[in-house]
Amino acid sequence: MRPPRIAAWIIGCAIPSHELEWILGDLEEVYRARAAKSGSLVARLWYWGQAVVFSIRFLRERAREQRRERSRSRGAGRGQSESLGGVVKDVRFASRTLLHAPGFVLAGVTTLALGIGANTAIFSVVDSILLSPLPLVEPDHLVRICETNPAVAGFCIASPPNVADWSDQSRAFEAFGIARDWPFILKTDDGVEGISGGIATPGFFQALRFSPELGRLFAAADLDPGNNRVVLLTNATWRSRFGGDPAIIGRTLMLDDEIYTVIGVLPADAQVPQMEYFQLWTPLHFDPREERRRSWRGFRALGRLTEAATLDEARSEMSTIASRLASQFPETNEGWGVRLVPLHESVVGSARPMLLVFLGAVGLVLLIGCANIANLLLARSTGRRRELAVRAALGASRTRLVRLLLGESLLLALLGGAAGLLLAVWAVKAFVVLAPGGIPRLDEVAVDGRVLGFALLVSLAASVLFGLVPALRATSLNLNQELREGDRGAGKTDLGIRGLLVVSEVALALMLLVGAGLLTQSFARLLRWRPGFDRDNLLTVWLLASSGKYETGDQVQLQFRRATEAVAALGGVESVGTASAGPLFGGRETDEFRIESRSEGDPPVARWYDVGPGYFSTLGIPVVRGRGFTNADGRDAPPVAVINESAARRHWPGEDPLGQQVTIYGRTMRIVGVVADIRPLKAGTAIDSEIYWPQQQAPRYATFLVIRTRGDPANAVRSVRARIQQLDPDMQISGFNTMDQLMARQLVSPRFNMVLLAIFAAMALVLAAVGIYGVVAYTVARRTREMGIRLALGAQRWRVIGSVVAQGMLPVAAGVVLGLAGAMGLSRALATMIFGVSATDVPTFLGVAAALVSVATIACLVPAQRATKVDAVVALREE
Amino acid sequence: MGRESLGEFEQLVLLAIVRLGSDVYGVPIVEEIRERTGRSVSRAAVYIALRRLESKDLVTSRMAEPTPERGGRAKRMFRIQPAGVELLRESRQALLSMWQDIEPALEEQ
Repeated sequence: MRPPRIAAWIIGCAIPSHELEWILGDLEEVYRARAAKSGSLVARLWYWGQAVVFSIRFLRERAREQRRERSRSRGAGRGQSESLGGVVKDVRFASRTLLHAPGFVLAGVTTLALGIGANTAIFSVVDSILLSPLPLVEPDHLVRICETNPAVAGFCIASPPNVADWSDQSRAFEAFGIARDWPFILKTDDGVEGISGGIATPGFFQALRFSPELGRLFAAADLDPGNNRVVLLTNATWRSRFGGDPAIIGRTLMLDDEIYTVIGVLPADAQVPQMEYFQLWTPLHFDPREERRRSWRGFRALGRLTEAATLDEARSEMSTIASRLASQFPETNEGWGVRLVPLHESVVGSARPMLLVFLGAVGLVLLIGCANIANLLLARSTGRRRELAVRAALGASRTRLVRLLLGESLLLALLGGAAGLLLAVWAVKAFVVLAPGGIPRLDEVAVDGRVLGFALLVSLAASVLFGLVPALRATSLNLNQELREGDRGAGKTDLGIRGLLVVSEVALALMLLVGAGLLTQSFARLLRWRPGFDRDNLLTVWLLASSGKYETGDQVQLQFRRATEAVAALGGVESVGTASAGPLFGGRETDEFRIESRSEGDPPVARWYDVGPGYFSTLGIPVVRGRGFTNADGRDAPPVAVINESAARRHWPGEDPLGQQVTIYGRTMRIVGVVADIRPLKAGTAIDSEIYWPQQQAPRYATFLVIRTRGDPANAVRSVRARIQQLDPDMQISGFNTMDQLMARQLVSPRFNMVLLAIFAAMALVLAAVGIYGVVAYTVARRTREMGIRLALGAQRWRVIGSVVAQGMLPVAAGVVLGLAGAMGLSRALATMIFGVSATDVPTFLGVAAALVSVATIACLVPAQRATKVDAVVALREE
Repeated sequence: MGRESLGEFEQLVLLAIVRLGSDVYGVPIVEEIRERTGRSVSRAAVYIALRRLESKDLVTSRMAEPTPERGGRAKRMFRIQPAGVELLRESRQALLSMWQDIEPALEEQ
């Protein structure tokens, strides 16, 4: 039952250290007595009260002592007491002056709170996701190892026998493992359900250095066929499905119609990176050294470097091993290299560009805010020149005056920082809730001590940034002139500095606006997606046949065909097709292919799909040449393929692809048709070459049904599910999605990016407009007299307004030019986030500049117009 | 004024030390003043007064053994010095003589 630590620390700051022990002792004694009597809450409150009273009283006492000291030693030399007492005095002075200017404080603190709050919030996201280490044991030693080939660019995959060979031959790694997703069908008393699981080698968990909560992890013996029906539960599954049963080890589960025995439970804090959502794990169901698996590059490989090895050593060692394997197994490994990616990079790399753009954006917002406050301070210090001159005349040194003014800035910044921190806590929560899925490590995002430190640092930096120039300006006085002229003395340099501030504000705001404009354009392009087929009234569903139930792929195909026909017969369904994947649904399977009678050069790459006879007609993809598939393209019929127009154009320019033979994924097929391209959602991305072949000729255990309905496709979900279940109760049915839903999912991320950047840009625009307004209002105030004379002499009102606006717009124009140049350079950072729009899109740049100029014009017009309404006599009398 | 004089609050603190005996520390001093005067005094003010009294050599202090209920921190024990006693007497004398025969005058106010 110790007193609150922070409060004790605060007391410690105020009280000299030699007196601290007994005072804190006394306080703790009383605290304990109070806590025993009235409860700890009351005692804590009391202690905090004491902290406040003690710090105020003791600091005041210290100041008093120093004053006494000074008055005693006066004459012995001045200016030596600029220590703590001086600072306390400065702060007190600053708070007093600030209290007298509540409007200024409100404007400043609000601006800073927004700027610092946004920065702190985004920093805490960036810190948790990009900067802090992964929550694993010695995560720096974990590396993803990817087999590389042009056909799988962008993927990080490996095959089991290759990883086994790496493991044998490498010295830089102490453990290697592979894993991949493996959906299971879990049968319980309540029925069957699909469950997401994974298969892994023992080395995978060794590399992660997990230690089981219960039981054990996989061992080498668990890979033996016959002994491999064992399962590891994740902690969450163990708790939610089995109520955290301590006797779970040895219990059995029915997975895919086989009996599996639970051998262990993963610890609660064990997050398998990039596979966090898997509910259970089984060992690989085959020997990872089986030679025929060498081309099955469908696994994620993970390695742990030894303490001694560096990443570079590992890289060169692995590339040697890879080329050795390539010559040893040319069939499967020719042309395959290897790439090592630190696990942290692999997990967060995709989020980096977006987060850095956000961080840059809020940085710009804060800079604009600082420019605004600098402006305010300049205006204030101009009003206070006389006061400062008097102080200087009475003997205050320039350092002393700068310190006084910086004290104000500091206080303002700290207030703004504190308010910003509160905003940030709220904003981070909002970010986590609203952020699209797919941002890694989002659950780890939180405001912590580092973030606190960041906020403090930013506040300090901001105070110097916006405070120093005005303070230096204000204290570079010509005493004589100041005392004589008073307020009118504000020189031309001030206006110069103000102009520069406006230039920078406008330039920064413009860069942000261009960014937001580009994202908006890109988003609009996504909304206007015309894929080349009819998007309306389409429903997709994923079917997975239980592998224990059907002997051969042909039987599964037969079952899928029955399901297709049964669903097509339902009321409200127009037609049904099947496919392994398609636009916006299913995975992406890419491979090199070979064109018969051509051998020269690197083999081209294509995406491939297997589809049923009704697929093209159901989706509405036109067959441009030749034919689509029919039920006649069965198992015993000659192998056929259909390609898309892009493939035809790319690989058979000026030739007829019909009748040509292609070989892909080990299958040699004759091209019988060409279908129209499906235009990609992300406009501007190249259309891949695509090869389709009939599902019946290469049966698999899973397929998508693509269903064209007459009315709202969402209404068909129930009847489709019921009909398929009726045919096969063990069939796993999941992933019902209408094309609209699939589309909406694609839009989440771009919309989030766009909205967030638009918010920052709007903040920047408002701040810049306020800044311009402030400067023009200040100029107008200084020129009221002159304008009064001009008006009195018969000048036209609009001419006077025009001259004010022209003067105000000059720095705006300069800012626009600079900002456009800056945006040209910076918008490239957005390249990964925009589609169908060039990062230097001229209409966007011009439109944004025009918008900014009109806002700036209004900001100039308002004060100008107000000034010309002043009665000439009043204006003339004004001093 | 050649000699230091005592403020009212300092008098209260000194008197509390005298009342409590030879060696006393902060907690009972504060309580004594509170109980006797019925005023809620600020603990910080008492400690600052103690510091001033010590700098004027009216009290001395020494550190005593730490105890667990104080988080293992030592107490500071205060003791009044002859100069303190003398000043207290002077203050009392001054006050008493000022108070002498003053009741009728107070009544008239």
